[in-house]
Amino acid sequence: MTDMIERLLPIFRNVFDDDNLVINVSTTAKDLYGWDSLAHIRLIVAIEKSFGLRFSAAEISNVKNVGQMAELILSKQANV
Amino acid sequence: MSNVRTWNQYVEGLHIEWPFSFSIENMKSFAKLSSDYNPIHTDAEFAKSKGFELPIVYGLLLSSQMSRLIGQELPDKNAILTGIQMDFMLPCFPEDQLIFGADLVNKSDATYALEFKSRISRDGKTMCHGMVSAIWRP
Repeated sequence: MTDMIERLLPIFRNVFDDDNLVINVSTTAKDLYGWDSLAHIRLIVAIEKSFGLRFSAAEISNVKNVGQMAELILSKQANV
Repeated sequence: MSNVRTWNQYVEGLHIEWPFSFSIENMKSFAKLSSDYNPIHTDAEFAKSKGFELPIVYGLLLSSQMSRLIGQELPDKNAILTGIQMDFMLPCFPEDQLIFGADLVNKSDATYALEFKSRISRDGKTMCHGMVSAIWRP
């Protein structure tokens, strides 16, 4: 899980244009300035591209924090 | 064309293109709208002194075709422009016969996001290229 958070960190920093941004498994949209609906779309698209995955709307709607996003990515990778 | 389609009708590889050109009058209108009166765009003699045969078409006037793509040319009226990126390779001039082309290269079902690779060409030569992002909101 820690490795996955480390892989997600540069994606978050790029999307939110903040080189000092720090995330952890419990980080939510409320914790990050600028994490609005458009930033959320940019974030999901960037994650899909970076990991070569495609999410469904239902999968994304169940994700409530960074840890759950990491778990979703890991489960998708396991099923490839 | 009904201009109302479903999300599933967007398929990666969708290609759209059309011809266009800009007149001197278009250039004057853009200068007024943008307040950019740089003589490289407005003064033929000045442009010649810099080695160009005619005033150069404003780069952001060229980008207006990206707005046309999202607002007018897609097979649907429900897309909203969210971002553009352009690289200008060669200068375009008034009355050049240009072609704008766009290919849908990424479609995110999770977020209803669309990404197009775009190209403006003249006589088959790339004048500028870029990316256009949009979201789909039925």
